[in-house]
Amino acid sequence: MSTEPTKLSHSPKPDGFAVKAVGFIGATAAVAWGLSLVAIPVLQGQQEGLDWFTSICRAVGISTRPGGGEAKADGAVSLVTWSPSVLSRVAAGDARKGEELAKDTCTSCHNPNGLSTDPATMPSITGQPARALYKQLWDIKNGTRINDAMLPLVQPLTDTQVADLAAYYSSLNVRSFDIRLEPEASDATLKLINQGDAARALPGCRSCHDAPSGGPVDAPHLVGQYPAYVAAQLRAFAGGERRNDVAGRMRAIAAKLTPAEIESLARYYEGPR
Amino acid sequence: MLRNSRLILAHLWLAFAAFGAAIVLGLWQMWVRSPFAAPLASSENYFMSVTAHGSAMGYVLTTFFIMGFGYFVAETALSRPLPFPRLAWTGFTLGIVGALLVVATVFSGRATVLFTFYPPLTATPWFYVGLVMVVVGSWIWCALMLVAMAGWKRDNPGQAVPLAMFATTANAVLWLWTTVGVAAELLFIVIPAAFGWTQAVDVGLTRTLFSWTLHAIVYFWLIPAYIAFYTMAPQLAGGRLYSDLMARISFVAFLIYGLPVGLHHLFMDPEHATGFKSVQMVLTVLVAVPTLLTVFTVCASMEIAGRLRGGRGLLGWVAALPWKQPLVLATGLSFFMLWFGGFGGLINMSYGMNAMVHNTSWVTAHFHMIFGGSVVIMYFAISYEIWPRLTGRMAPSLGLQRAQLWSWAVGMMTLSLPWHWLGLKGQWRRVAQFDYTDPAISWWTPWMAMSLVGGILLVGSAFLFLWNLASFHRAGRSAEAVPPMNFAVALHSGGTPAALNGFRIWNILVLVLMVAAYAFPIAQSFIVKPPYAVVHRVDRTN
Repeated sequence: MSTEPTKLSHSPKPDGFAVKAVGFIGATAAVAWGLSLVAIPVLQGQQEGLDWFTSICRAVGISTRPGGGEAKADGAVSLVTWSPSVLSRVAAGDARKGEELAKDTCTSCHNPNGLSTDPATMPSITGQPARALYKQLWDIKNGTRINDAMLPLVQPLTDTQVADLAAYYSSLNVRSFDIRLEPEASDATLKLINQGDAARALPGCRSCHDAPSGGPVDAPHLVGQYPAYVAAQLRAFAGGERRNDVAGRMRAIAAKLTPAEIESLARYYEGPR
Repeated sequence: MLRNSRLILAHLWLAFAAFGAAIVLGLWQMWVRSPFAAPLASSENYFMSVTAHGSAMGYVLTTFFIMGFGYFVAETALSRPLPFPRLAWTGFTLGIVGALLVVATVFSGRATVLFTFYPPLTATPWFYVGLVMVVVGSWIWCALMLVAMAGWKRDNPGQAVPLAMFATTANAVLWLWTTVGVAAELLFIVIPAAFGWTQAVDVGLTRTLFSWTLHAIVYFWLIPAYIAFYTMAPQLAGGRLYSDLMARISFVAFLIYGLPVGLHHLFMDPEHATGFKSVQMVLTVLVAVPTLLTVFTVCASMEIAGRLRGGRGLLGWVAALPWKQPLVLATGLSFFMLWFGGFGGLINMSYGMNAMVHNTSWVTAHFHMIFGGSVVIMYFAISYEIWPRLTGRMAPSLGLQRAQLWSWAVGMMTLSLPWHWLGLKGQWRRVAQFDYTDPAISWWTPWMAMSLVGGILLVGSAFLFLWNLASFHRAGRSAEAVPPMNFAVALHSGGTPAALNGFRIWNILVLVLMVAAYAFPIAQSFIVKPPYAVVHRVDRTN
């Protein structure tokens, strides 16, 4: 069924082919590594006034600069860093402990269900992502978000307690609905939400605030949020009174919105009345 | 009829069933991206469909076809029974369960991470578990190929393993090396994140590990086509293989230079410095060598056939070739597309030029041309050639087979040339929908329409292919016996060097090159301690 197999060679030096092949492959490898890690980097480095050692280290990816650039805490907008250990602590938050703790700390204003007693000044925190709640609590605790009413309440909390509270309120969702089914808004507002406005370099709200979005992990959900609160926060970002948004993202966005747009966006996210 | 025809047919039919479903999704995806309103168009559905299309074409079609064809070669080229056929069925079962898991998770909308995963995007863990099962099933195939070749060598001392089997085993060895990267990525990083055991991942490390797999997998897909070029096309054309030695060198060169080159997929990534990217760029240039050797050897082989058939003059032999033979025709069409695909590949692997085409439709166009075009057309032709041996029935119509191959080639060119052009003009890939009212891109309309026509041709061609295969099963047993499977005899077979009758020395070389090319790029993740990215789950809304 097959072809006649060919014979193996019987040369006096049976490994002659192998030796040549290894030599060829070794030579090509020497060219590849020599050019890429030595010759080209050193030549290019000379043009930039670098010594040969620095040039080679740079090509390999080793830094020769002394010390690392530590981030300065002065003027930081938030001290929360999403390192693997912080993320693990937030993920390990205990909702049952959080519920107990909330009775003493939170429910007088935010109710056990996360719907607040004064929608004009306080947010709904029901069903917010745990990471969003964790960041805001820590920002208030650290003073990077100014909130005189909350500060004395969150000041004594430990990191674990913050994570537990975040876990508890994120586990609730009493105002859940699919806002895409309720588009009670003008086309202009919907465009702002879905696509943003490229002319003003505005991204669509959905790109960060619609789960699952690709935005920052600590972005809160807006669906079901009180319109007065949303509008107040947008104005605070625009005016620079609130500044715990990393990289100034929300300050840049809010400053470009007109007062009418702020009102219509806030109304949209409240959802069906 | 072959002893293991049921096993082989099961693999091949599963491969082509996945192909048939995936190509319909592909057409719908093009429709969504086109200026014409498509049904069910939404970003969510688009990325679900792209994930299903990529997984089915890249993992299911290829892996099962290669396994099935490998079993065919092992039985026919070695003229002996396949060892441990029950283990082969176990591999198939693992693969089919894995493939079904992938399908279920993708279509439940819980795995819209595309077939190359893109951590920190994270799907339901069962999507990855399904893929791992497909890979583990293919590892069983690799082991069986190695055992089959070793058994033949033991019983035939002093003789060279038949070329088709040597190449198939080279592919099995290549695949074992190739899958190390993706297996490490999935088992140590992605699956723990998907189960929620870790909250953040080192994206640079995951991408580096995937790059280990990402380029060599292409050669895994491609080698069956090359086996057909060397061992089937010259035979069917009535000629001889010009050089058995050249063929073996080509397959070994793919094994050696196909692996330490994956960083050329990361030229624009920040986690690596320029040095190692450049090393792997130079090695990528060397992968062109086995392709050029193949073009030379196969053209020389076909020239022998053409002249034996009476062709004269400089190019008269080309016209004298039996183009009515589907596999000969497919070889010609495949070579034609290989020029375009290979040229595009040279652009992609050039550090500077890569920056211009990075993340544009050019890249999508390139891999459709080279894989969907040059490689898959040979899967079709191989199937037409081996189906009579599997079913004991002859094809009712070679004309329909040729029509299918022509329509595929024309369709693939019509689909991918406009993409190349739009990519050069900056059209980005991995985007679901475009706003064609935007004056900046409204001029894309005719190009996208042309590309869509190519997609329609491809779907028609795919269905014709499935029809042609089904025709074998519908046909009655032919009165004339199906001729036995013969692979091409070499013109020059003065003696095969012992080193080209096994893989020991080549494995050592691969190990050395892989350590030199990848040890530092991987180790730096542990030395530098880069920032981690937060796992972004696509299967949860909170």
